[in-house]
Amino acid sequence: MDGGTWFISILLFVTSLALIALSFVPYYARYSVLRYAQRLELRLPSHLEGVMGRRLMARMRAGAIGAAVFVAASSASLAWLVEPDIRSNLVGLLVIGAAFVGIGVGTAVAALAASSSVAPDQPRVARAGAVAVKDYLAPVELVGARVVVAGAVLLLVWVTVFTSRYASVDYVGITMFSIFGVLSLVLFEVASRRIVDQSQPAGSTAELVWDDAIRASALRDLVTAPLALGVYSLLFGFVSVADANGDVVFGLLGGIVFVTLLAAAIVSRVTRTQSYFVRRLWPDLRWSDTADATTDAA
Amino acid sequence: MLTIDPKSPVPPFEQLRLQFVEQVRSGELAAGAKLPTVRRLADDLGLAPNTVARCYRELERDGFIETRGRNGSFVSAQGDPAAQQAQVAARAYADRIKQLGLSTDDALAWVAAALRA
Repeated sequence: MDGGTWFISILLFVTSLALIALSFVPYYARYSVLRYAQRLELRLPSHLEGVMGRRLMARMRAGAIGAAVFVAASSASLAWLVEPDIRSNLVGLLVIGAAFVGIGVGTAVAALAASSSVAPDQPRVARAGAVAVKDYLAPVELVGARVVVAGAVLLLVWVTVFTSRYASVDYVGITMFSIFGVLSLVLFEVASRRIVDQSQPAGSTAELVWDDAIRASALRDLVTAPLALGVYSLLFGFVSVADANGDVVFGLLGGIVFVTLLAAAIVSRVTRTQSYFVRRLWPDLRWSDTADATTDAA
Repeated sequence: MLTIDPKSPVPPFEQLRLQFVEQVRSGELAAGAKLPTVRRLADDLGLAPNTVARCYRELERDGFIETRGRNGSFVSAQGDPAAQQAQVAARAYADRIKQLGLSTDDALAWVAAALRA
């Protein structure tokens, strides 16, 4: 690996360690949960600040631990396995991809291991209808992840069957991005269903709304890995095939993927995908609905 | 939303059944809406699975819900055949509005305009 790639690896590793350390700071927990509430335009009752801050930090810590482990493992294996003359941008992208997968794995473990409870003599509230993953993630993320990973696999098949393996290094890059994209999509599909199927013990509507908010945040972290790896694979694949063969069509396809990516980012920003679950599950939510348990039970 | 109050003199089974009946009658739980699984609702509300299963059985016997094998339990359309058809159509419209991410106010306004036309 060259100096630039080592710099990326060390930067990602140190950032992960810093996030792990920050997750233990109570002030940062409070700041994060209030900022999240502001982004979602949700009110957070003061009695829930502590518990929701701790849950948010536990999830962030697990994601950062996953990222640190995957960045360290991928950097060590790439430094040991990869020839020194390999494209440095490919190795850098692989390390960044490993960080996304690590965040996904850590988040999945934390979300599945998390549990909450309500005192036995307290009123309990629950949703009367069933929920699914599509209630928490906007179509641009949920369908987008499946589409880009399927596109990456199709590109890999096409390159394998119809081209003369133009450059072995680039072929290895497309193969690795596609394989890890598929694996992270499988992880997302399995873990997201299990997360959504978990029970949601809640003593008030506010607790239920905030449990949904933490879930939505975990699912968005999970879906980022297949999305990022699929996009990397398509961009890297189209551009490197175009480079190697001087193929204008592939260069054009790479451009289309890039423009689509920008358009998806704008759509995501404009439609506020992070608060999608509020519109879907709580379309008529009023602040009075998120009062404490005794008011709810009355 | 369902609420179970352990301090209430009404047994949890009856609290649950009455709330479901009320929500189906008022339309808050629309025809075709899927209900949570017995185990999930029991975990959420801190009840025994048998309590929720008994509630679902009674609701099904009274025609409020229907069980579609392994697909789960769904709210049945209520009223005469015409009203039932209208509820099924309303459910399909509501699902499409949610898919498109449109607001409830707009959706209701379009229905009102279509009915007036």
